[in-house]
Amino acid sequence: MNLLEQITRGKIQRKWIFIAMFVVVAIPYISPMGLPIPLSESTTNLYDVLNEIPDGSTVMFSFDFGPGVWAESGPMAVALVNAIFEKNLNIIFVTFVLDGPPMVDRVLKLSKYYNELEYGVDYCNLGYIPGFETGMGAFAADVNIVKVDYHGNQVNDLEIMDGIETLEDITAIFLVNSTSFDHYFRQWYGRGLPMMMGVQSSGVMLLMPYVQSGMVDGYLNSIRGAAELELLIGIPGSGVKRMDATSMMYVYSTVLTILAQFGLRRQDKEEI
Amino acid sequence: MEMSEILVVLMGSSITMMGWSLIYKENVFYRVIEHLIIGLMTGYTAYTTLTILINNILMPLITDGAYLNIVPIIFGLLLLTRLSKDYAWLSRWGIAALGGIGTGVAIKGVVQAQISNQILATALSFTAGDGLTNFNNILVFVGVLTSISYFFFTFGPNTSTGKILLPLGKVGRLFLMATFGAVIGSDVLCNGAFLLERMEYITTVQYAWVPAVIALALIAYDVLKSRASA
Repeated sequence: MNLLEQITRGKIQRKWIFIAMFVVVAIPYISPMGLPIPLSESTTNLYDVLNEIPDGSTVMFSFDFGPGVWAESGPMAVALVNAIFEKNLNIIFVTFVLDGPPMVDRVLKLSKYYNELEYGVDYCNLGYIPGFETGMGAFAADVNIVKVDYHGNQVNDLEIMDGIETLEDITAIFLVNSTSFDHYFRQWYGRGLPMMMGVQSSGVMLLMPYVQSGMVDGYLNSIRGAAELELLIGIPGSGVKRMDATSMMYVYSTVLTILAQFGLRRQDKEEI
Repeated sequence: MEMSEILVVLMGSSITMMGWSLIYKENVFYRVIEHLIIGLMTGYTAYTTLTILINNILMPLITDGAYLNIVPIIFGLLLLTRLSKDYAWLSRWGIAALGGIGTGVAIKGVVQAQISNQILATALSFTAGDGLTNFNNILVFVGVLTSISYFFFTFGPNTSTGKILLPLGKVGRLFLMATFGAVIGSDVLCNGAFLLERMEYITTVQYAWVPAVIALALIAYDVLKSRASA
């Protein structure tokens, strides 16, 4: 049985599919193709709303992802942080997942503005808030439930926290997450704050009901969204770098899916 | 590049290769990584949780006289009674508190975020926009209505209402299948992104390709060895 027959009959060994994928994905890194990156409405909406926020305002950024999903969430977080600091806004970082706090530091170090920022004035990392949805609700009602930040400083001593008592005292909510979205809207929606987010491609479908109902002011769709925002703010990063490989992988996955259909149909016929 | 940086790069790339080695076959390198990740996460979880407990619950209780903090501490300790057969029943108090508070907090925002706003988003005009928008609005309305019909089990298929709901449910099933297909598709692409990030690391960071070449050589050796023994 030759290779084509193996593929169309669904008999191919798994390792060959992966080896081919490695090759397909490696090509754009070795020889970049420069495929065009058209801007989507979701990203331009986010950029427009971000630009409407008054300079010097304080926003909250919920980092609800860990190192396991860095590949997708990392570029989005870096692009968003760059866009926020470019607008001269201050950020209060929080996280409701256990492995989120180190991600804040990692993203900040990759930010273009890292060396120009002062901790406690331009940004702070309040660290992990336990309880997930309960924690979100409690934090929205009283920011002072967090006494000590991720680096061991008293939260009351941080200049950025002056005058911030509840969620209503901040100007906008940003988040990048690796879970579903229901709890964010249950706890934070309806307070008159714009909500913008970076979404993994697997989560976009779950976000759609909230986009359709106008509850989301803008979102980044995975690597592509990150690449689009990087282009909009003029700071190319991992998103732009990965777009060629992402496109190649999408094409490869689509071809495999079509070939698998032939294989399944053949199998069905043979069983009959 | 300093020696320490080279070591970090080699370590990062080696760990990636050890993880990926499962694609070839089950092996000891993969097992090592599996255990390493579980161990790291357990240690990190214990450290972070205890630090937060001390900083935000215990210290305010001791230094600021926040006596109400005793309540969550007691409920938390009650959860540990599951370790004893005689006192395991006490843990139900802790679980009840967690469940009760969690449900109460969640219900607060459900009506606006997940019911009223979603109904309003479905009740769209079929004539106000351009042709494509109107078609999309009709599609949303039909999709929601028929998908809900699929889950209507109150009426049997032989009742008069059931006879109306059955064909509606069949159409709804098509919408559901399309949705699940889109979810699975985006999930596959999401997993592919993990590969992209690692490939970027291996192909663009200096010396990161070295463990990849060693891994390929080991696989080639193993393939040749198993062919020779066969």
